[in-house]
Formats: sequence, structure tokens, C-alpha cells
Amino acid sequence: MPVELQREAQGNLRYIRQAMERAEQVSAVSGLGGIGMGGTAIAGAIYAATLWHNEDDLRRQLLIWLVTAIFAITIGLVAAYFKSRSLERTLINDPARRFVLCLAPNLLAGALLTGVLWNTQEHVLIPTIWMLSYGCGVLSAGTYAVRPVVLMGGCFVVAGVLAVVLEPGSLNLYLGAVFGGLHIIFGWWVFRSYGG
Amino acid sequence: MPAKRATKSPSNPERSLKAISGFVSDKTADEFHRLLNDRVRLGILSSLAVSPRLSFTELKTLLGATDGNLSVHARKLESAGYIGCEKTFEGRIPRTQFTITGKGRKSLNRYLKHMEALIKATSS
Repeated sequence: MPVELQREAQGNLRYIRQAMERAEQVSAVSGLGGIGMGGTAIAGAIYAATLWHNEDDLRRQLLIWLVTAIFAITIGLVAAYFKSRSLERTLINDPARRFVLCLAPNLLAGALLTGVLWNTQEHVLIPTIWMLSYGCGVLSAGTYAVRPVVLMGGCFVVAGVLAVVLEPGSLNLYLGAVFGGLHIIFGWWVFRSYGG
Repeated sequence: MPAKRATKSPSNPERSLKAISGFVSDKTADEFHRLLNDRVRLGILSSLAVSPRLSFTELKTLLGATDGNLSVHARKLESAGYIGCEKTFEGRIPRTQFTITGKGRKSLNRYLKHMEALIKATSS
């Protein structure tokens, strides 16, 4: 009997902890927003790939990717706003703040390293840095979000490592496939499992 | 003789556990134990303890409950004064928000202490 009681009490405590953890997660991560971000990345990649003719196009390619990133982040934020509104919540809450605080330093590090690599003419490493910094950011921020977000972060890190061995000419399409594909796949997962 | 001593022993594990956890001695505790003995109700209260304001849709997703199931359990907690319910309209769409009350938070803390006491008592 005491063993049964103990097991029941432990089960109840475990259930309470899990319910609390789930409630703390950022539910405003939008699946449709992720799909939109992925679509933007693919469009950006195709456009940037058409410019792969000579070294002078590199600056324009970087600009295209920066515009694509700004556009994709805007889509993600707007979608998160509408999702949180549909859930009758505010977008700015504790888990969301922690999510941003985990993601932002990694993105900042990625931006700084991009500048350094651009100045040292190590352009070929830029996609790797982008995928690694974004992946690490999403991976750590995913602690405060739903499960697919963590897995997506992990996939970005793996993709970033694989990018090192690729031909420079294929990096634009690879970036598009990774940023586009992963956002669409995991966005669909979030949409199906968590709504929005 | 040893058997007789054993039956007279005051340390009947079941009784002492109940006394430790207070489920029997305290009527209020008995009431909240009965209320929180259901997983959905326990889930509602636990979720609201960390996210002080949750909508009906959010709670439904978090707990994997159906509309009817969640409504019934939330109403029980509301009538016990553990949670508050706020119903508004956004245009023509009804919105329901739940919040945890002081009584609800206190009860959950008490329930957690009881569970911890049970585990301690049974493992020692």
C-alpha cells in the first residue's frame, strides 16, 4: 500500500511538473509563419542563385539574403502576433521574452561574424555561420517553445556543419533548401500539432 | 507475542500516511484532494499556476481535452473558487479566459506539500 501511494504521489507530481512546463512554453510560435518564412527563403535563394556569375555579384547576393532575412523575420513576427491574438494572449510574456533572449545573442554573433568573414574575403564560410548561429539560437530558444522548434534548431546545426564540404557555387541553393525546407517542414508540424 | 506487539504498534503505515498528508483529519483538505484527484482539473490548476491567464483554447490544447470535458472540469474548479473565469466578446466571437485565484494557488501548494510528505513518509 505505501508503495502504491508513493507511486501515485510521484505520478501526480510528475504530471504537475509536465503541465507547468507545457504551460510555460511559447505557444505563439506560428506554424503558418514558419511556412511563410520558408517560402521567402526559397524565393530569396533562387533569386540569389541567378546572380552567381562572378565575384562582383557577391555583394548583391549578400544584400538579397539580408532583405530576405528581414522579410522572413517580419512574416514570423506578424504570424506570431495573429496566433497569440487567436489564443487570446499577449505576444509579450515571460516565455516569449526568454525565447527572444536566447535567440538574439546567437543572431548577433552570426551578424558580427558575417562582417568579419566579409572583410577577410572568407565568403564561402558565411552560409555555414548563418546556419550554425541560427541553429544554435533556435536550439536554445526552443527550450521555451514547443518541441518541433528544438528539433528544427538541431537540424540547422547539422546542415551548417555539412555546408563546409559543399562547392561555393551550390551554397545559395543549399541555403534556400535548408532555410526554406526546414521552416516549411517544421512549420507544417507546428501548424498541425499546435495550431496557427 | 511478537505478533501481538505488531498489531498494537501505532505505526500503521496507511493511517500514519493519511495523518501526515492531512487528507482525513481536515475537511477542507479532503475537499481539495477530491477536486484535484482528477488529472484534467490538476492540469488546469498547474498550468494556471505558471501562466496566470490562459484562454479556453490554450488550455484545451495544453491538456489535450475536449471542449465538453474542459468546460465541466473548469466549472467545478470555478465553483470551488480555485479559478476565475472571464467571458468577453470580440465582435461576435465569445472569448473565455481563465485565471487562478489565491485560494486555488494556496490549494495547489498544499496539494504539492501533501504529495511530498507522502513520498517522504513512504520512502523512510
